Amino acid sequence: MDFSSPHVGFTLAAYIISAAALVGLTLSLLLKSRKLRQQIEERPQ
Amino acid sequence: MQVLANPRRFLGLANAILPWAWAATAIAFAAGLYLALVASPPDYQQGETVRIMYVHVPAASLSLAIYVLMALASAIAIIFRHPLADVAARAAAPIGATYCALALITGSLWGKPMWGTWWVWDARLTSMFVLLLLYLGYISVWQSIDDQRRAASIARIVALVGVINVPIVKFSVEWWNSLHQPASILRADGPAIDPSILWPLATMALAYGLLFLSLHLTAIRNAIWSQKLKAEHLKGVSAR
Repeated sequence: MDFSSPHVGFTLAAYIISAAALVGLTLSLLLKSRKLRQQIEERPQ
Repeated sequence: MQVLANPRRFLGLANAILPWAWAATAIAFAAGLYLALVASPPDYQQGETVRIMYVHVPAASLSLAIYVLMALASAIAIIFRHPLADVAARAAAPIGATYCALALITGSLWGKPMWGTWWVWDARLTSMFVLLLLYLGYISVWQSIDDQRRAASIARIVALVGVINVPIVKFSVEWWNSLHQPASILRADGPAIDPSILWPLATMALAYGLLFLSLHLTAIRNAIWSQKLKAEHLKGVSAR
């Protein structure tokens, strides 16, 4: 990828925004999953 | 399908699939990003901007497919009263909404340098925006109605009525004059794009699909665990 080519900022912005949104969504679901798993394991049987 | 109606059986299956699904997602993204950003050539007209397509097209295609999945799950909930169908549809909505929003944002980032504008109210862009509104409407039905049975009934209708928009999005570039280019992959006479662009695109589409599978299974598992904890809490309260 040529970082000196015109409009390359638009390409980088598209990848950075996509990565931020998908990583954010993944983390939010995995953190919720971890919290729920802990609650399930700690509950009285 | 009825095998998965038992939440415990579904959890067993999801727990077995998820580690492999996450690993496959990571490998597909590593390969897809290498092909998209390093191995594929710039386009002779679009230059480096063509690489936006590798994140835009998978997000757009998956956002349509996820809505169809939600509508199918809603139909199954109505016809077969499958206990996990509503859970599956509800769990898919935030993921589909994120993919749809990303398709609109990355499309806009491609449109500014290529079309000279961030946005036009043409048929493809407008119908994709309507799809985002349908996703947000579906999510807000579940979040704003306390009675979950009533929320499920309304959400199913939103999903089933809204699916009419999917063929409108798909064929909008053929039915109306549009600034958006016509279909170049799913065509009767085969893909119209060069293999040097098609392969990175296919790999990124696979990565987005595997990510959806991983996220969706995780979200369904979260929903089952939440319901279980809530039911046990209510049982404990009523026993006091």
